[in-house]
Amino acid sequence: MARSRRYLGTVLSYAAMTLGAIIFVGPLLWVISTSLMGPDQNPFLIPPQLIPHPATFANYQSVFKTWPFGDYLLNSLELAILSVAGTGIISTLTAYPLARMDFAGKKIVFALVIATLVLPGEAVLVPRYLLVNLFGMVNTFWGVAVPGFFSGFGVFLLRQAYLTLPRELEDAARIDGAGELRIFGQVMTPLIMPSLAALAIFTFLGSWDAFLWPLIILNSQQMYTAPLGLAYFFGYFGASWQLIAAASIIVILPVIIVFVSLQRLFINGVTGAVKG
Amino acid sequence: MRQIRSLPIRKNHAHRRAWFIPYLFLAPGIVLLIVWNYVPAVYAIWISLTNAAPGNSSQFIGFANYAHLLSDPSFWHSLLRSFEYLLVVPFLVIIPLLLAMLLNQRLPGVGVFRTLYFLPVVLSMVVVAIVFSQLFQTMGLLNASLMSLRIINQPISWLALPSIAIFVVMLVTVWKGIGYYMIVYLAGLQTVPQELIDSAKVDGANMLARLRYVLVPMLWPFMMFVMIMATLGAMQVFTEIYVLTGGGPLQSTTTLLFYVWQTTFSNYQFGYGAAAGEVIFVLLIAISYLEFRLSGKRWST
Repeated sequence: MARSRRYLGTVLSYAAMTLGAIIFVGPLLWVISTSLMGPDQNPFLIPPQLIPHPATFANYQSVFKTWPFGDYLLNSLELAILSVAGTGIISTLTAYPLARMDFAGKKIVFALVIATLVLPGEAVLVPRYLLVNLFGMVNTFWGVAVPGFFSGFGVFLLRQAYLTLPRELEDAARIDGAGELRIFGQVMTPLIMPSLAALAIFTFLGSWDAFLWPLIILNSQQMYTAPLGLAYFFGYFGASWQLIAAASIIVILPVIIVFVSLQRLFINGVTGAVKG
Repeated sequence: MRQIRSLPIRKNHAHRRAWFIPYLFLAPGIVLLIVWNYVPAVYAIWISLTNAAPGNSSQFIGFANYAHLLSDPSFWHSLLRSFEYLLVVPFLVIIPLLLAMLLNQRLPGVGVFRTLYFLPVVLSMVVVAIVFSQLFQTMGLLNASLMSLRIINQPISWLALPSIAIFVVMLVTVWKGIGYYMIVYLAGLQTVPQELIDSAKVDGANMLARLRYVLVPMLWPFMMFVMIMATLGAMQVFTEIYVLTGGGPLQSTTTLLFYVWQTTFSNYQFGYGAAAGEVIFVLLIAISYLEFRLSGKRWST
């Protein structure tokens, strides 16, 4: 009895999991399939075909030939690298003393940092834009990236990581004559690499996906990132769904590759943010 | 016998470092934090009291923008839409919890499903929104399926109907958000001792009872975290709306943030936009505060 009930439970679990997988992955498969269709094939055929017949890569070629999509991708990459470097440097520098040093005003600094976790940038869109304008950074990648260099999430995540390192490590390095900068740069920070990597991935992802802020700051087409370019061609040109699908796959492919190969870091990043 | 004198052990003096070193580390971050977070927060108040617009020297106009807001039906309309949008929150609190329970079982292949469910989280929102627009457009895949199953005879213009469009946008938010919160809950489930669940099972508690008396109390802090994050997220939805409906039809999907964006960056009324932005600001603070109070848990460090 009990055994057959457990067996039934397992079967139901797999059935539910498979249904979930169809819901979450199905749309993606449909885009892939559509991106391989020629202009005279119907992407809205029921039932949808997993691999269209005949399949063609022509859409992928046209995306780069007829649109400046390669430029958009390079812009996105440039912006992401800038964001990752900036956020990584600022977060380590800010998190380190908050975790490992005592100083006057520590509580105030920490409170200022934590408050940013619940006060997202969207609430101060207009003044931020005017500041970017004031600094002459409208339509530059710096204008997009710099306001995000300080990340409450990043500081928090790295502070948690620095906190876990044993005190003896620091003392030993000090006895060996290492100065503050060396202890920070060569002893402690290499040990929080997993958290730093998680932060880098999250920042990359956030930058790659960012839409509203780049839309406001970047106003010339040659500065567009991939999501902006995609939305532009989707909305204004009404390009064929086959073509848009191919461009969509190109936009998400780098992220999927990064995700699948570094999955554990992603998960650590999410859970690290909660456990704090 | 001669006693061996122990060597004097040097007391482990707390290390003394120059007082300014922590501040040197902090300086770049704190400068950025203040310039890009706290200055804008204050600056926004000032702008909202002016008639700032590109090319004009902005003048102080007192509370005129706020008075204008109060009498602007579009503002009230968008505020209402933002509250309506909070409908996504219960879905984002409950569905991921159920999925996490489903995927927390020790079954072969569960890891693959976890990966698949998390996949939407990493996709670009623009792409997701475009895909859903193709699913839900009048000649889209959904209508084609429903018609081939003979559930409907005429295609439904999901995104062109003011009463329906916002739900399609919400669906996109939920679909993309579920995986993230599921991972949060999976982390939470790791903190629930397996013995607790097992003993509840032995005591004959069925799935619902286990959920009610074991898991929900244990996972309460995680549920609160998810609720806060989902609420804040719902107040900041933009990309989905921009791509799927552009705020229409008939402003039925113009949320407060979208309205701020329109007034500021399409109509270039900076002062007015900033005033509406202040409303978002206050709302976000109020919501976070309420939910922190409700959760009875402060930020622990």
